[in-house]
Formats: sequence, C-alpha cells, structure tokens
Amino acid sequence: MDDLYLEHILDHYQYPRNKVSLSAQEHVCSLSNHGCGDELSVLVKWRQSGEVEQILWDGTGCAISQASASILSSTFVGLSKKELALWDKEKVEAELGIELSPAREKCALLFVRAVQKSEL
Amino acid sequence: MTLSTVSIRDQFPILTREVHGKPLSYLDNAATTQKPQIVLDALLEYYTQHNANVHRGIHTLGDESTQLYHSSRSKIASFFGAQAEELVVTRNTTEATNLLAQFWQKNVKRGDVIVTSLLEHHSHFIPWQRVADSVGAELYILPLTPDGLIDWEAAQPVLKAKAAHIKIVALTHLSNALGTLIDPTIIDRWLKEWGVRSQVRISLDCAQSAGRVAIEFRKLGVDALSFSGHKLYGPMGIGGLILKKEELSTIDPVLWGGGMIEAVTLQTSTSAESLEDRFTAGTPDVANLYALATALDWLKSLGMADVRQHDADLVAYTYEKLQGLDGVKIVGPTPKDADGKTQRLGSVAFIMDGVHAHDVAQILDRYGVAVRSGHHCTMPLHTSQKWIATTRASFAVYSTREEVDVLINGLQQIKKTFHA
Repeated sequence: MDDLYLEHILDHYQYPRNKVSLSAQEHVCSLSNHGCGDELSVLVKWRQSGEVEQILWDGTGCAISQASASILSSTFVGLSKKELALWDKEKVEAELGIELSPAREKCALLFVRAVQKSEL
Repeated sequence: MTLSTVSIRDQFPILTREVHGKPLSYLDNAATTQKPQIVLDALLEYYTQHNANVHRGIHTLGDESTQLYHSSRSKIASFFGAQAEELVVTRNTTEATNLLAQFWQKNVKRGDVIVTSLLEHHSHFIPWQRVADSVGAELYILPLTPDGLIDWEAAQPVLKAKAAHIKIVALTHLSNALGTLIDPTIIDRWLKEWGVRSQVRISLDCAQSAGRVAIEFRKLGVDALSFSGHKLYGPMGIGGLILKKEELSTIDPVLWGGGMIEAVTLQTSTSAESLEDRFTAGTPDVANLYALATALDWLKSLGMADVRQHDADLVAYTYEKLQGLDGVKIVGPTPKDADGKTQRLGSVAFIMDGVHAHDVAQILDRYGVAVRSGHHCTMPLHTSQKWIATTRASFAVYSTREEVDVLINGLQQIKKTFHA
C-alpha cells in the first residue's frame, strides 16, 4: 500500500483544516456529487485587491473529497479568481501528491469547483 | 464446494493477472463477469472461419454464418426456457427494458397502476417511471421490510384494493444491491385469485439471476424477461428481451430496414412473417450471439443447481465473515430465512463505520480486491435507507472463499488505519 498517500490524506481527513459550521453564513457556495454523496459548502473571503483572503468550508463525504478541501483551503490563499480558474485535475494531483483515477476525479475536484463558482 | 473451482478458474485467463503486485480477487461480478477461454475462442473462431452476413448470400460462408446465427439464437432462448421466436436481441438489459416499456406503454392509461419495487435497478425503474409520468398512471412501489425483503404482507391488501387498475408489474428477480431473491409467482398467483391476471403484464429483470439460478420462462408467472450477456460469462454488447410469442406477434417492429421486411415498394413496406426476422433489423451481431450461446452452453454444463449452490455458499461465507467484523454493517437480508430457504444470492453489501465506501473500495484495490462502491444504480433504495453509499462484493462460478478472506483481511487493515 502507498503509505505516503494514505498518511497525508488521512491526516487531513481526520483533522480537517479550516472546517467550520457554515449553516448561518451568506455567500456560501454548495456543491455535491450525487453519485457518491460527497457534499461541500465553501465560504470564500476576498481581499479588496481580488485575491483569496481565507476559505472556510464544511461538508461530508469520502476521504479524497474532504482531504482535498482541507489541503486546498490553505493552498488557495492569495490566489486571484484568474489563477483559481486554472486549477484542474493535474494541478490537484500535484498538490495532493496522488494520482486520481477517473472514478475519484470528481471527489478531488468538488472543492475546486465550489471555490471557482464562488462569487467575489 | 460442489463446483470444481480450481479447474474452472484455469479456464479464465484474466484471473491470473496481478493488480498492484497482488493476485486479482475479482469480486465485482454483479457489474460484469469475466470470460472463459472457450468464449474468447468463439469470437476469434467466428471472425477467422465463418464471418459473412446472414441471409444475404448463397455461398458457403453465408450459409455457415446463418446457421451459427440461428443455432445461437435457439441456444440462448432455450437457456431461458423460451423459443427462438420469443427472443428479441438487444445490447443489454437496459435496452431490453426500455424497448419493453415502449411496447407496453399503449396498454396503460390515466388512472392505471404500474407496480414496481424499491429494489429495482435504474434500468428497470426509470422506463416504468417515465411511462407512468407520460400517461398519468400511478407508480406503486412495493414496501420493503427493514432487512430488504419485499414486504408481501403489507403489500397484499394495497394491491388487492388497486387490483382492477393494475396493468404492469415490473420486478427484479434478484436485487443487484441487496441480493434479495424475489419469487415472482407470488404476484402472479394473487392477480389470478383476484381475477385480473389477464389484464396485467409482468416484467422480470433477470440481469442478476440468470447466471445464478435456472430460469424457466413459462414457469415464472411472468410475461417478459430481460438479461445482459456480459453478466453471464458472455461478451458485452449483447443481451435480450424474451416475450411470449403470442404477444410479440401483435407488436409492431420498432426498427425498420434490412432483414426484417417482407416486401418493399415505393409506397409501402411490410414486415417479415417470422418473428425472429421481424425484430432483427440490419446486420445482427452474429459473433457476439455465438459467443454468448457458447457461454450459456458452458454455464449449463456446470449444472445450474451446483452453480446456485456455489453462489449461496459464498454469500453465506461472506455474510458470516463480515458479521464478525466490528464497525461493519451488512445491508440486505440474511442468506437464509427462518425456514432455511435461500433468500439472498449473488452479493453481500455493507457499510463501514467512519469510512466512505469509495475509500473502502480504493484501499481494497491496493490488495488486488475488486469490489463496487456507491449507490449501485439504485438511488431510490439508498436514499430511502439514508445510505450515502455501500460497498458490494459479488460472486461468480470462479469465486473462492480465499478471495473473500483477502477482502476481509483488507477490511481489517482499513479499520486499523482509519480508526488508529
């Protein structure tokens, strides 16, 4: 088994960063994968200059979807909308340090899509 | 075990491959089965020795191909206890059920009732849902017991009250999600008791059952059944709908063109007299029919009683082993009922505490174990039970207890890792 992948992903799955309850918040973007039950809500706080100040999120689902949210919620700080739009499967794989099979791609990209859809 | 699994496994070349450096433990047979060498050889044999279009030439290859075509159709139909003229070849069960819904829609009107169950695969649910929507009929969903059996006791008074309006019943023979084995003769018997059987058409989804239990079309109390060849050790892309010939002879063809006509003029065209021809438009897939017929001959040669016993044994073994794991909840019925009668075949599905089904499947893959995770094309069932996703191990004639042991060991490792 690939221990490195499991340790890194598991750590963020079991101890998610930037995860808070978002039920009462405005400007929350929520997305889900109907096929497998992953759900994410994201709240992006933007700087005046248009870059990400902070991302808070909440959700349930598989380790890949939740760990991806936890990892990328820190990685995306300081990025502009234009830079966020460039995030795709390859960049996510590089950042998470794992290869994504077609079946898991949607899990890992759910957070990215939710952030990309968030309004300024 | 009653089947000689070792000599069976030797016939499946793919079973020798490794996955992540581990031997393959292929436990996703409800999704598709692997193919024995004899079936692979049949495909090659057809294209290297007999390939020619059917019915269209007067030459040796054309004759050989035509004979293979007809003998294959007969063998496939006979596997289901039906005649060749009762077989409409499709690509798979989904195409068969959609075709059947198209045929039967005209028999349903506003206020009528279509009966189906929460266990249905999307392919045997959505076509009927759409018919009901389209004509304004009621879709009555048979209730389930907490362990995933049809609750016939609760259903009976409801069905009786609706009896005069029931036009279609669509049931799975064997649930792909929970392994529940359904007896379709129950509803056939009730409809006869209530004097309404002649107005009702019953469709049976045999996608999961056909490779595990002997099917006798005319003894099941149904009017149509559908199946997929790739779940029966045959190739993908070939399946069928079996309809009583008395009814099929009253149905208009859906596809018109070569091979299914009697005569064509500029003004009008008539379809062929023969039912086999009438519902086969265009060049048929002779190679895949031949391969499927070969697969079914091969399966029959194992003895369907032994095939069923082997499957039941693996279901019971897996169920028992999973029960022994803390934090694992099995979904669906026990292998046998209180009287010792088999009520579950084909698969055992489960939920693991604190670990999403996709993660279970992903990590099991690292051990060479292939299972399926998700909603298994039964979203209404999973939603009604509030299951986000389940993991399913499903069996074939080459499956072994040793493969189940690898699965169990993998689950124990997952528990340690996720709950450490």
